[in-house]
Amino acid sequence: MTIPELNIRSEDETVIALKDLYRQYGYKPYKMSRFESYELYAENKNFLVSDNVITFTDMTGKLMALRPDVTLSIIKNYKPSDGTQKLFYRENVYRTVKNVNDIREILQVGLECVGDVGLYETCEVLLLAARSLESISEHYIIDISHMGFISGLLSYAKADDKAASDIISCVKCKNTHDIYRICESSGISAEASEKLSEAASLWGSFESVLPVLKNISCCEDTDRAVSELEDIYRQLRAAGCADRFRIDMSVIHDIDYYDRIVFSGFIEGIPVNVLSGGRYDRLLERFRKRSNAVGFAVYLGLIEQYAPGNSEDSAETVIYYDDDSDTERLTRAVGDFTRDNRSISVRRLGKDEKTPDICEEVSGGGIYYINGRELERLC
Amino acid sequence: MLNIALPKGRLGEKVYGIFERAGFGCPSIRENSRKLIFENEETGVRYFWVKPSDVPIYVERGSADIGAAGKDILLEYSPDVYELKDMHIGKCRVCVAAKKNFRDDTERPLRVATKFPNIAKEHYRGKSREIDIIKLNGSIELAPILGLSDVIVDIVETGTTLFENDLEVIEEIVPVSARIIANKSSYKFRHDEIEALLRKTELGDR
Repeated sequence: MTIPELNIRSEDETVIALKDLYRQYGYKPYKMSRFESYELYAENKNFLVSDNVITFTDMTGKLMALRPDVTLSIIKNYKPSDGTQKLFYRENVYRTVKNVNDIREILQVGLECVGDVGLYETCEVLLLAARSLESISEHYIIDISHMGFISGLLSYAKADDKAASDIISCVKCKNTHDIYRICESSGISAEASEKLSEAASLWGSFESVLPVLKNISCCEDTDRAVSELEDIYRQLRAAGCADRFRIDMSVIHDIDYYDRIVFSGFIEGIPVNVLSGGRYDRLLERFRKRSNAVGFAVYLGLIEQYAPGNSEDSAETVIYYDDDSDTERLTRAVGDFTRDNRSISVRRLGKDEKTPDICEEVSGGGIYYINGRELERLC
Repeated sequence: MLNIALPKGRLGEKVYGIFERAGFGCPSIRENSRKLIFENEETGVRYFWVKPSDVPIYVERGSADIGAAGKDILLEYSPDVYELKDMHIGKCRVCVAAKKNFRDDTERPLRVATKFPNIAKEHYRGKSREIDIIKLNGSIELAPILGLSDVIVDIVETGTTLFENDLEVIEEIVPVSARIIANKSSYKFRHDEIEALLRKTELGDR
């Protein structure tokens, strides 16, 4: 990947920017415990991004887990009688890494809108997803899909459970060649196979892809999905951010939890998706709560992991000193510079070390040396 | 510049030939040198040779925008990448093979020697057969001959090696061919370049 000039904000700055953004839209902070009963995750394993949950027994012998996900905890505690809740969080989650026996702690910032969720609320969450990535980098894209479209096509194709599961795996990786093979060996019609394959390969703006989806649509479920995507497009256009979205039917989350829109966000230069979200009404049904919900998480930990670090000294001013320097003079110089709001870096020179001749190392503030009791500007 | 990971060996050379004929050549790659990276600014491509099983890693982690990998490698490592084209080259099969006249003793776990433990586990899970995986890195055919395993799960191209060692295919697990894979993020931000390259290579996908 040829990485462009990445201008990605630091993790700390991003957290502050995101919290401000979510507060501006009326979302309230939600703080939770680091541990949850393992039962919660065991019953909803397919909702989790990573398969393995890190468990331990607490003082009473109860099996507990280091939280691998935040949404489940929020939904578990949500009471429909509270009305619509708009919440955001900043939490660490704990996941195992694929193909490596390792555990990762990943900082996640996200939001959930739970309760009476309509078109406006869904699009507000999509807008906030876009603005979240915008606050990290200007080079971002959000892929959006509708779970009803692919599941509608699979019903139309009369795919059995095994074929449906294999086809979904292929759609997720835009593998159209194997979709044809699976359809052929499962007795699925050539017409349905063509539709599934075309849907999997689509990727583009709302304007370019919606007409194609309309052509592929072949049943009530797919018609409903296209109509909802059209409504969303109109809202996002009104919000001025539709150009940041691409329709991509390969974005698929677990069908037991998500049945409507799902989305996934990417930042140029980061090889994995850094944002994931969707409408997960079915999760609430599993908790027997008559409500809807939509939300997303930004994986800040992943951004920090993949973004190239800034190893250069970012201090404006560098002050060198050695054994012959007067440390009181050094302390006074540091005080003077910091009072002027300049960032400084104080470096001790070893016995045979000399001050560097390279002046371009520091931008703006200059390089100094405490020569005995004097503050000498080197460049 | 589009970064392309090619698998070292015959398959990678065939894939490079296809790209070259499509107008994405890089003459320096044909020179006999110890260089690892070859780049052609005019055509906007940069190639690098890597171990075949490492291609999905380079692509998944974005060091390569696209790459060519055998389906066997993709099934074994399940990388989170797009699988955009079947190149219909490097065709072979992942098979279960055993000594001639082998009879499965279902009273005990089946000992399976393989380079592909995940493919083998998945295959036998589907049959609810308990197995004992013996992970080897080469000369898999030796395992049943020396009694290290009952069967092997391995790539079979012509079957000559099996035949010469008194082994035979007892089951085919999956057909294999080379696939073009792409990093998911690169696919969004380098979409036009990737699609143009795929179009020009005119690789039939059916």
